[in-house]
Amino acid sequence: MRLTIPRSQDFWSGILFIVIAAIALYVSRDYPMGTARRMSAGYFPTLLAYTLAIVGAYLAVRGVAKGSQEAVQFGSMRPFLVLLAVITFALLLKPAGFVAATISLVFISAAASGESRLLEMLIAAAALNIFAVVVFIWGLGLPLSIFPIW
Amino acid sequence: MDFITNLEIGFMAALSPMNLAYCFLGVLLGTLIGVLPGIGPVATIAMLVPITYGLPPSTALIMLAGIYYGSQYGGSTTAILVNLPGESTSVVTCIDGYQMARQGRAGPALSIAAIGSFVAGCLATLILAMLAPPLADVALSFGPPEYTSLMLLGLISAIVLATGSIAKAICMIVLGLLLGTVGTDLNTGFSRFTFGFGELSEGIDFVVIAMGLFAFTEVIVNLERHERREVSEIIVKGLLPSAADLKQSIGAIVRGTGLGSILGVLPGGGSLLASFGAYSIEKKLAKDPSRFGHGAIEGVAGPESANNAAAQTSFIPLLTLGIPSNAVMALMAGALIIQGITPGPHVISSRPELFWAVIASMWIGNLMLVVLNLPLIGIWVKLLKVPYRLLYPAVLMFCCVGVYSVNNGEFDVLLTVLFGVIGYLFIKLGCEPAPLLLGFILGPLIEENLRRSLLLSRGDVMIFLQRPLSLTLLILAAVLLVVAILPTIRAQREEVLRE
Repeated sequence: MRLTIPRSQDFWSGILFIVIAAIALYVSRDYPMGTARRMSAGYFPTLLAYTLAIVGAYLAVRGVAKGSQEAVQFGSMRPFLVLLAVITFALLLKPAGFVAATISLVFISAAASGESRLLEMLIAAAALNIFAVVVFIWGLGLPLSIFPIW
Repeated sequence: MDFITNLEIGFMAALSPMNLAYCFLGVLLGTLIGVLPGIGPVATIAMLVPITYGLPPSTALIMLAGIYYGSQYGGSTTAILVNLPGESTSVVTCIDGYQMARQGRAGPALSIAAIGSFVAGCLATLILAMLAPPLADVALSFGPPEYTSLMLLGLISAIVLATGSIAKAICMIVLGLLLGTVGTDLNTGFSRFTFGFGELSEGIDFVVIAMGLFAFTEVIVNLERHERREVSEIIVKGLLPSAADLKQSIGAIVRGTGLGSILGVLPGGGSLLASFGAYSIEKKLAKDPSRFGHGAIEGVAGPESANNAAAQTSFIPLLTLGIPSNAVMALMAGALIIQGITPGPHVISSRPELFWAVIASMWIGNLMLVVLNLPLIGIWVKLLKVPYRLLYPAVLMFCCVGVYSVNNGEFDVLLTVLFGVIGYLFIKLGCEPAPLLLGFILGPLIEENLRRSLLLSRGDVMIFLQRPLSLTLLILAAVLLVVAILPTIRAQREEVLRE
């Protein structure tokens, strides 16, 4: 008999929860437990991690046991470029200033949709920059530098 | 008499130029994001919470509340005109609303949705104003055991009412509770799950989780679906409903308001369930159910009234017990905490001007919304034509600025990206993220009260059963859980949620 890897949502969500619970238990292994009367730092998290592992195991078993279920389906990875855009923004903000960070955010995230047009994006980047500088930095006084600090 | 004087205080505060302006800004933003599919109230409020830091507490709350109930109005516009729910709560409005629009009755559909929402909003706000103060008085006598049991009841009803699998909802809540333990343990000073990051010593900020799980995930999923909106050229003429329309809808509006007001109070219930429930009630009560799906006006009036009523009454648990009943209320709780106000039963008595100003602003806001939605409908229709490729870079930028300004550091932004990835996985695995946020917000409160209760009882868990109020709450929770697991009810629940 060949083992096939189950593709059901139940199975994989169960696995995900078990993994998270295991990490939590591993990280908190040295936390002081205390007693029920005087719970210390480790008591509540440990209780939660075991609950998560048990219900997660139930999900995983159910995912294997039951037949036809909704399968996990991933689309293209392209939309994840928006997260890259956000990371770039975060890392650029301090050294390069708000304007440069926003321009990079707009352009990298534009690549995520695959239907953006250059001219549109130039206008969008300019409009967003003007709006944000006026409202957030001048209006609300957020402590962000507009241009790079030399 | 007290009620009237309090209302006077509230209206005095709410009618100040600054509060009026922010109320208007809130409902305007709410309508805007309500009309636009793909941007929800959770993400919007999460973006704006850090910015409300500089505002007085009542002004901040008035604006954020306006966004929430405003989005319930706006969502129906998109549902009726484009057959796409602007908000998830308007899913059922698509069914009959769009049919009405295709039959050339878009005007009456839009106006009955707005009138229904207005009536429901006003009545539900009245319920909130009358119920909240006595409830808060009761809650003041709660000790740690009662609070623990109450929050357990809240979590369980959130599990029962969540869409999808019960086991997954349990996992999501527990995971939320676990995330709530990150940071320095207040009782022992021990740092938990900080992985050596100093930034985590005060815990994960709720804005980070909300923005990651809701805003970023929404953008990715929307881009993946690659959905194109076709705005058909539906001409809106003859806004006013006929006398027959009104007569047909009045019952639906009243029933929707009732159902919505009840479901809004329950944790995890809220607007979505209310609108689904109202639609099935109308269908069951109708003399001729076959009209539904072919432009029955009750199918618009009922759900739209219900979701708006629920949006108002979902403030009750937050303002009386300090327990947020859904993701939006969790954000409101966070906004209050930023302002130095811990949500709870003492808020109404110690900050009456805050509570009553928010109540008064809800009536004013609902009135503004009718004006915004009916005569200005043309503007919103035009807005629908803005393509998503221009919208999402702006959403991302606002998110980034919002998260960054929580602690003025890039750490939170990077952490939000991590939660964006996790949120995407959850969507792919069919796990609804809202219970996680609820668990996250309630986690520290539950741990604290559990510890105090067991300290009081010297480690004896029987304390929860010995105190009558606590026992009642636990019995309620048990009944709820048993009922949800029973096979017959379960089948019904799935049917209601699927419809």
